[in-house]
Amino acid sequence: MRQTMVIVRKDLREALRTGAFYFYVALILAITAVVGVRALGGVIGGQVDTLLEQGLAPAEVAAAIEPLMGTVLVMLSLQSMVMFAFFGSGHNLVMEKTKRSLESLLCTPVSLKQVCLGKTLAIFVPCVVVGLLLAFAAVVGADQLFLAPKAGQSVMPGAATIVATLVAVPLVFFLFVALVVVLQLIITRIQWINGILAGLFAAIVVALNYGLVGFGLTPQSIVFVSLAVAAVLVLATVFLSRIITKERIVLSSKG
Amino acid sequence: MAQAAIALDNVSKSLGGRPILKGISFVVEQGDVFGYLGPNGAGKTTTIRVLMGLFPPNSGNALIMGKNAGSDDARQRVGFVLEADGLYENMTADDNLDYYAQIYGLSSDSRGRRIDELLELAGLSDRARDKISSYSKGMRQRLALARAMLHEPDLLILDEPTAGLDPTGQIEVRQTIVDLAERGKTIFLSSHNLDEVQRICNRIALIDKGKIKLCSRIDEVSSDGLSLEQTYVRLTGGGDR
Repeated sequence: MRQTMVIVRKDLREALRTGAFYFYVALILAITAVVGVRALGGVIGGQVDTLLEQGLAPAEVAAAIEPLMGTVLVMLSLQSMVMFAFFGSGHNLVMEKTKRSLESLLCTPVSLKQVCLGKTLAIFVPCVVVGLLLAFAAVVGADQLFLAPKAGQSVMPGAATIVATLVAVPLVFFLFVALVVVLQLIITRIQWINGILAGLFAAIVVALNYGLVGFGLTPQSIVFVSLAVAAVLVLATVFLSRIITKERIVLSSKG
Repeated sequence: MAQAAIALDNVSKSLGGRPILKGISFVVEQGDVFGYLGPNGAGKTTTIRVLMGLFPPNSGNALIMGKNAGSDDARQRVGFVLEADGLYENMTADDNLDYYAQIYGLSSDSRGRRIDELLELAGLSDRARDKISSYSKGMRQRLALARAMLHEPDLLILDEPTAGLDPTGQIEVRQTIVDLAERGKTIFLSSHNLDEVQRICNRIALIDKGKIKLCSRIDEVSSDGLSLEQTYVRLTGGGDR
């Protein structure tokens, strides 16, 4: 574990020293602020207007909106994490393969498992921090800007949703990052894999958004969906980790 | 008798179905400065990757200090400079060495002192806090050599450490290797440079098309009246693969 943490600390320090890291933080912040909050305003504000027009009392409006806020919190946190992983921290490993510094690391007494875990955590930690901060800030912002002025009271997601956001979402994201890291380690054309995975993930997020918003899934459903996705990711990662070897990593570093 | 630093016994390795090493065997004794010669594509880098535990051999045994080449014990006793130096360009020399010192498990008390010593040995003390991206190729190679020495290994495996350097850089790196050899380190030096090998190595092996064509003391190579260069050309045909 000590060597794993050495790898994590080095990768984080290296990322924090590159201008690209801060550029992507600013970019994702801007996307979340401009697109996210405006979209939230449209969806939530529209829902509030509709409910008020139907003659519901402010307390009833707030209760009706709460699940929607929860859905928004879960989806925003997951989207921010994935966006930051692809555009921000994720390029570290690509650089290590192209510059062949990974090959040198593999010649030390560090095991392959430690390298995989270290690289996964180095991407996971900043993405989760950034993703959760942005998602909570966006939800609070949307509440203060669009909900509270109309409904007459602040409405935040319930405890179950917050737990789902703090536990289930990071779990799914961790497994997703582990899968991406394993793929990045053994495949030569990493950029292609990143592009395909980003597209696949975007499709899943859009489908989930449609399902969650359209069918009004509860926080419990979100947890079940998350666990199902996590199980699939675990199976895929375990399968791939069985074929990962130092030889594959070195040979795939040539591209 | 001391254990061999490196012992390869009938090692074969294929990559993508193509045989790269075809049953190679040789022994490097402790204290040797061993030159490993051969044309491009002969199998030098693959041999080094087998020794570093990156490529498991398809058959045969590769031992480092009596331990399996892929084992943690073996890797703990080897320092290396690979074809690509593997330094982190966004980090300073200090940070590069500190990272590997932590990977090798050096205590926080000894790390700073050891890094200072090695930067001094590499002649880079005044550039310790500069990013690697500002280093010349020669400085990078000297830093890579310093990194290889961090955990005080018994054996150094160097893959063409002077390739691509200007004459001054070559002299500096070569001098660092000679200094290390004088400190009693065993050195396995893969090189194209026959003159360099002749000057600093006491034993050599010549690989061509995945087979060892020659393995002897350097002073025995020319016993039949041919220079090392002539022997090399005679055994390899002189060309790259």
